[in-house]
Amino acid sequence: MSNSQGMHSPVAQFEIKPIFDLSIGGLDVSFTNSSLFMLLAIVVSSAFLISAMRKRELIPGRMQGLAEMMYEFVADMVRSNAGNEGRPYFPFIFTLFVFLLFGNLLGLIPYSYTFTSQIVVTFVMAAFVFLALTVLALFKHGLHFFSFFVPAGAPKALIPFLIIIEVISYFVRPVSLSVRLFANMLAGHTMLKVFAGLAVMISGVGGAAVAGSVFPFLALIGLTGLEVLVAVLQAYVFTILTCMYLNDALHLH
Amino acid sequence: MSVDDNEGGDKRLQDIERRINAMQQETQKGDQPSQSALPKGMGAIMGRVATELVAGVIVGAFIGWALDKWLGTSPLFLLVLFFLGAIAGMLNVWRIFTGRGLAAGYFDEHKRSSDTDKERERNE
Repeated sequence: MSNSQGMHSPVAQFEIKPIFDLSIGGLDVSFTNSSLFMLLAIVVSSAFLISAMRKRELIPGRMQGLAEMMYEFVADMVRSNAGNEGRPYFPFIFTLFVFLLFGNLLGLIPYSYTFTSQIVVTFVMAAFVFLALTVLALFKHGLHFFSFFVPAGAPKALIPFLIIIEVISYFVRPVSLSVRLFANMLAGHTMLKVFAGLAVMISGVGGAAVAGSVFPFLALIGLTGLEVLVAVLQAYVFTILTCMYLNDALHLH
Repeated sequence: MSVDDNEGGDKRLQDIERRINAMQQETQKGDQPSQSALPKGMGAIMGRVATELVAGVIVGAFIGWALDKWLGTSPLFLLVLFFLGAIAGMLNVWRIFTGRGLAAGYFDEHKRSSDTDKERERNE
């Protein structure tokens, strides 16, 4: 009955819809709802940081305090995970954190689109981080970088075997980095829509059943709070893991 | 009046000096990265364990599949690397639980333990 009333499937929210079609050299590069929200994340975060820091007061107001907190939070994260040598890479890490944070949080607004719930997006980001850090490590340590894959004090006969395992475990990094973010956002948003759909369906029965719809609705309120936490936490986890990988690239332990 | 002002100024200078010293120590501390602060809740660890295990198998199987396609040896490498990927995933889980973070590869047991010794001395 609910389908005829325009009931949406809980995964309809992840559908990519082109806003205007564009094709370059046979490649479909349409501007989609996903691209729109990436652009929005950039615009909103830039507007927030620029407007918050415009006055540059010695004693920060609320907005400036928020912007400075974000800055110090990431700066502290880079320093405690990658050491002072990690400081030149702070602008990149900060941009990464702010982009993911705003992407995740904007996605929580009803009718918006969460671009971090697409594995393509998170994987491309993770793969870029992975490649850039591998190139950085090769550049900094030269061929010594490959000693990274040889476990210390292993029996000689086992070393070829262990190297293969270490190489695989190195290549797991971008996958686990991207899957973690994508899976959390996908699961959280699906759950939100399932509970919202449940509330609508129960109230659609009519009569005394309408009172029952208050339970999924209460759960939905709690879940929304949880999703805000997950959005911030997953942006943080992605960033801190990037810092740890940066540390590996800089110091090779 | 003026004496009071001077004393207040001295105190302020001392306070500023103390704060500058504290900040300088803070910057020096950054020379050696301290232990990371990944979320430590049970749910967070379970999530990480699950992703590591799955990602290991995916990456291993993918490399095997690509090698097979390239060398035409299907399904030899797919099978071998599937299991090696699973092992790599388990190795990463072991790293999580033994406090090695997610750092793959070479791990100098002695260096790290001497670091923590130093930290313990500093704390005492």
